[in-house]
Amino acid sequence: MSKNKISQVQIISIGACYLFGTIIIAVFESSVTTNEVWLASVLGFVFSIPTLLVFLALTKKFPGMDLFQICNAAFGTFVGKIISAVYLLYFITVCSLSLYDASNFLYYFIMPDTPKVAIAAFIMITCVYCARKGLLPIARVSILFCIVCTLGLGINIAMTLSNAHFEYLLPIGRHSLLDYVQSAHITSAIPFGELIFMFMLMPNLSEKANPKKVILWVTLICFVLLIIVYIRETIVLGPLMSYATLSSYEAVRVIEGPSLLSRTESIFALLLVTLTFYKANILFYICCRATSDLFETTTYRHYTLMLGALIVIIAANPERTPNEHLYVGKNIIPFGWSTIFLIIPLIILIVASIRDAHKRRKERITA
Amino acid sequence: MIFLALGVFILLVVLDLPSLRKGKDKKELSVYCILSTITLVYLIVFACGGKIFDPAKQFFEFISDIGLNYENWQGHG
Repeated sequence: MSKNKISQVQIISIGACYLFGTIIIAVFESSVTTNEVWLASVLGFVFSIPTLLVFLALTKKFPGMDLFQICNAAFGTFVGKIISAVYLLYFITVCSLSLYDASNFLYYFIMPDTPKVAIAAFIMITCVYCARKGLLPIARVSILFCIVCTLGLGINIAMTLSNAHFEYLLPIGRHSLLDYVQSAHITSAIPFGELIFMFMLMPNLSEKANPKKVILWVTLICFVLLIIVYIRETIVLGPLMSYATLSSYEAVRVIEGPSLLSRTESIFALLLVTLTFYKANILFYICCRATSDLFETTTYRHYTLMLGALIVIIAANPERTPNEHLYVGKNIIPFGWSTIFLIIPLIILIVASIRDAHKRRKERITA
Repeated sequence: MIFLALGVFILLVVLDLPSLRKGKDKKELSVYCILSTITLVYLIVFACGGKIFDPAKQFFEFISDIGLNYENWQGHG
């Protein structure tokens, strides 16, 4: 395999770790449909099928290209750069949100005396180091992280079974139709739509790998994880789900077992920190690369620290409170992110198809 | 606090110096200058407790203003 190329297994592991990092911390849909959140996530998967089809069509139309190259190819340099800038802002925002989630969790549950900005800064220093090393080391550890996190989740699920109340999954159908639509829309936007980040890694995919297979596998893994995590939360927490600040963590806090196995939530805390850190790491690498692509520089090494500092400040913005974060995530983010995941890629696809048809017609006339 | 912010900024520049020296491209230097200016402004505003410009927040406010907010649709707005 040539330098800087990653295998199919590695990219699937990156996608799985990234989406696991999103699912484990996402609480938006569980506050809308509470015990029926697993059902809403199935609906969310159905809602995300159009996005998935657009992604698959893009991989077919623009093989081996990243998102910025796709924008430039479809819209030309000027408009392409504007759209690319929108995507750069999106990646910076998601990276800052990921950093915010990780630092918030550590601040509220583990280290309440340490300032949030200091926690975020320390995570970012590691992200800067990793980004400077490139994608290959990040890809290599993804397989290890995947195995460790699957094991950790498996242990937690096995331990929560003693506290499981399967009757919490019922009754079904007591929410309004709009509640289901809202919950499904959130699910389709937040874990499934975030698959768009994979387009930034496509140029690094080895020749043997199949991008379509990669996207389908990651979507399938995301769907299975989502169902497992939500069913576990529901059968353990039941009606308390809507009151929990972080339902996935609260679900493991109620584990009752022999004293030898007390405080097992620390395993989950470790898992959560690892995954949110990994997600921030991938996103920071993408931000650096996206900046480099946008300004057409040969390397991004010089400005990793400056970009990192900027993201830390945005993440530590004192105006961003957990309540406001939950409100925006529940009510507004699904619409905003749908623009990024579905509408813009769909426009790209339409414009590219029109251009291709025009080109073919021109060739036919000249022939 | 403002001195702390300036200290952090100077530290960042000092840490970047070795890789900056290796860079020969003028474009890379200009991107560095733009990013460092934005970071410096954000650092000072953050240190002074001012309002940080968050593009994502503006975007979400805009979306909410045009009516794309589930709270309005649910009838709780």
